[in-house]
Amino acid sequence: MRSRGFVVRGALALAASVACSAGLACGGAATSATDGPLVVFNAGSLARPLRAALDTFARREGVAVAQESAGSLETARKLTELGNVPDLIALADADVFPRYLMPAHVDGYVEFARNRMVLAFTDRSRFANEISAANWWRVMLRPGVEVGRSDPELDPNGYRTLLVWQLTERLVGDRGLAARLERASPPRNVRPKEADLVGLLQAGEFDYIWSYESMAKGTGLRYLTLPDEVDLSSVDRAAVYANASVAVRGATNGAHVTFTGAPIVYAFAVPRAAPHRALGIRFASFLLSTEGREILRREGLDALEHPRADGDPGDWLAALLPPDGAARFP
Amino acid sequence: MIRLEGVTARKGRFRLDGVSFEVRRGEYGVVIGPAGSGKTTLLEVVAGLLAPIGGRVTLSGVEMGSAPPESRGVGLVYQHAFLFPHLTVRANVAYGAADDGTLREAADRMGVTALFGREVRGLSGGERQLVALARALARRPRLLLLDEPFSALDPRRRTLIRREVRALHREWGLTTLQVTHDFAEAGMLGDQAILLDGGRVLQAGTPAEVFRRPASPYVAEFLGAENIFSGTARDLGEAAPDWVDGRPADLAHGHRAFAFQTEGLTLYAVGDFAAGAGHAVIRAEEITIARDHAHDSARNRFAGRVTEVASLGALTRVTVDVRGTPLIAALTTRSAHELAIEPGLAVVATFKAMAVHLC
Amino acid sequence: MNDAPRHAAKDPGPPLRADPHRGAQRLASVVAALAGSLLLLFLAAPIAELVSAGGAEGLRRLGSDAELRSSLLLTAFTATAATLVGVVCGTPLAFVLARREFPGRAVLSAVLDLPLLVPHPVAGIALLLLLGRESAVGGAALDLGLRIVGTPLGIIAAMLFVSAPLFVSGAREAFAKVDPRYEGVARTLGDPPWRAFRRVTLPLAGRGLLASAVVMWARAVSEFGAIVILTYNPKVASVLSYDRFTSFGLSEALPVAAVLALLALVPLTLLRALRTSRPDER
Repeated sequence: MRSRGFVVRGALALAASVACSAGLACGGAATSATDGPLVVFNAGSLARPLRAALDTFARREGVAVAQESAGSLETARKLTELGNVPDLIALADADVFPRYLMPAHVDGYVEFARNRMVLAFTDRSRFANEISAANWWRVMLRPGVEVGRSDPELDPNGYRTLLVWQLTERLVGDRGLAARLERASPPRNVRPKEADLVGLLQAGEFDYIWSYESMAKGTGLRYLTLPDEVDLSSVDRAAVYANASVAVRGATNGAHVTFTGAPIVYAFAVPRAAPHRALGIRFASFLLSTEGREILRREGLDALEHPRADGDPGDWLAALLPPDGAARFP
Repeated sequence: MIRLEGVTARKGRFRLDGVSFEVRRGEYGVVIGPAGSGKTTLLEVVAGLLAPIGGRVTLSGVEMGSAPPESRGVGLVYQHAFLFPHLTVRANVAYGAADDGTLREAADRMGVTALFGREVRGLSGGERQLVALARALARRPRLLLLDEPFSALDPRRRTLIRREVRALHREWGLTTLQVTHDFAEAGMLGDQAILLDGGRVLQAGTPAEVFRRPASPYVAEFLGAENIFSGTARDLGEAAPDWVDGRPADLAHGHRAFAFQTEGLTLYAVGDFAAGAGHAVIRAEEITIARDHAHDSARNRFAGRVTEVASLGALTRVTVDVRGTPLIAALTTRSAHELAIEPGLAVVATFKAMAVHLC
Repeated sequence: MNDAPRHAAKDPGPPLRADPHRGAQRLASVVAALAGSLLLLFLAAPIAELVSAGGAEGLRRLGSDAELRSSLLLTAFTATAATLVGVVCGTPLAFVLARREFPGRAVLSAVLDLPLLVPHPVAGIALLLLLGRESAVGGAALDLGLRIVGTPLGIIAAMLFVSAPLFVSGAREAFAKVDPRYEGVARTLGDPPWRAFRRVTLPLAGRGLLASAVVMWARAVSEFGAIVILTYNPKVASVLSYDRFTSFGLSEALPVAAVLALLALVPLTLLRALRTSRPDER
């Protein structure tokens, strides 16, 4: 009697596991090609602007939208590692596309907005009334001033901070300034991505954080604009920016990738394997339209007057001309 | 000694209301009451484990107030022993032991020394109670509080242990307060009997007093008196029957003669009672049965017919129907056999006027 | 006590037949076994996957990867420290909750459960407001030279916040199961309250307390969201695996998670084995 009960339980367990495996295999059936929802993965600093654009788009088209925000590299990982493919992917660093996502997942991308590195702070920050573009590095180095930045290994904002330091050292002519600035913002002041820094700034834990202008505007923070030569904002200064570079962990442990200073350009792409590709393309077009760019600017994002394509983003882009006919494509 | 004055307490659904009684030093007090009467609560108040809402508890002449249990010198044995499950028997008994000698003596007298190495888990109910007793005694308390301590013991052991506990009580000069629902046990052990019901003291006194002279028919019934009748008592006073010698006023110590009229029967009683409506109580063992009229001193003599005979070991209960009123007598079984008592037999039931208690 | 019953011609009663409910009972047993097996599978399978995918690699890396080693050590240290604080402070609290009835006890218990409900990043922010350099507590600590945010102290604080309620509620149950009359007897045997607690209540509640501490420790080890707000560097294992995943992907993240699971098995098994070594008491 006892052994019989055991056999029954064993058989049931086996049946259950078979059922589970079968279920798992069947699960995840593809959804229909055009009905949505529209799935968008974006970098943290694009969260608010894209949310606004998505809301308008959703109302207009009558589709559901799903948005996931994360660090740019983490977002790229979702495609490369987890096989999680959205209908549109928008990152804070156009460079990530050729480095990680092309040609396997994406044929080309469109640069659509620009940003600049700024120092964000609040009224409570130490020396808030004193700090300026001419003395900020000296203020940073004062004892008791806590400066927050994001992790260079995980977030473009992080390694861009390091680039700004290097460029400032060049501009000011102060040898070793970049290293001193790094020491003044030690590992305990590092957080995974720039979005994590805002809360800490508002709580008073940090006096200053390295952020994007769009983020600072979006969260209503005071910010210090830095000279063009250092803040990675201007396409015209690309050569100057190229003087700075940082080595960051690469695709595998032990490997390194070098990021050279370049203007901060936001780019998006519609992946080849997007579940609702047509819908993704429609949204991409909306982003590039006058109205779309107006929405982005309203949220503090500096949308490019002249979006630029790289690689081969698709025929749809070639055929696309915004109403004011100002698009320029190579 | 233990003195309670107007003690009121609440614990969940158990309560005490204005409880007052006294057990003098070296006495053995027994609290008798049905389940739910608050007996355990009473012990916990005396032990200091439950703070009373009102009234005073005085132990050995010192008012306890909010004195903690550990300073009251009391030993407490719960009905379910509550032996510490994570300790061996020896560790349990030794828990609060005054010294090695007392520990050994308590264990020997309770017969638990052989159990010392055992785990509590494997003990029988009776063994647990003995260990619990030994544990409480090992501390040599001044006051011993026992909550139905012998209930799990078989009859033979019960008698032996009762004797030992009584002996220790005497030798060590303990004051003991024991709770029981077995009034026979109370009679055997106690110097003082306290009847508790619904949180109130119904009666307190020596067991003999309480049994012979219950304060109310409820008490009488509770104590197991089989013959309780309601009716009216008439003070025979000047009209004392011929069996009263001398004038009514000369009767010993306020004891008067009464005629108690209950349906169909007139009972004669002598005692310090009051006339009027009330109850008459006669204990079964006070009634004797005879096959025919005998000449004896009993004033109450009734002819009737046996309706039921029930033997319980050495005791036989005989129910006699006297003109429609049942009288229950208790005889030794041997006597019942000798007299060949059986249902249908015509007998005479007699009992003394002093055996009739009016309340 | 009564007369022995007479066995004369009495009706023996209905004949013994198979229990008509047996069918329903068998069905109930089968359903229960099925449900239990499914849950066990659901809980064990992902871990088994994880360990088989990254376990060997993770163990190998223990030798070469200093960052991994120090992260695991940090995790063990902070989780254990948080659990110790939780046990020391939580035990008296749990005891009072179990024994004493006072107005508002239910509300207090609910408040103590709240940290379990709060989303983890929110918990981190709440702690920041309490322990950050601008706060009374954090500022005072800084003045004394003690930094909380950005140090292992911050990690311990985050772990303690999210896991202590688990210990308190479990410990409270453990104490509630100990009949207060045991303590009463100990008191009459001469123990003041503290000694009765130590010699009787604590041993009797011990197994339940230990089980609750194990749960607390495990919860502390797994915390991520609240810790990241307070202290990102130095990285505990949960943060490191997230970090590795984001930087390098699954192939780097799995070994970290797998080796954490494998190493955690050791203390967990030991502690759970301790629980059942003694026979159950009445």
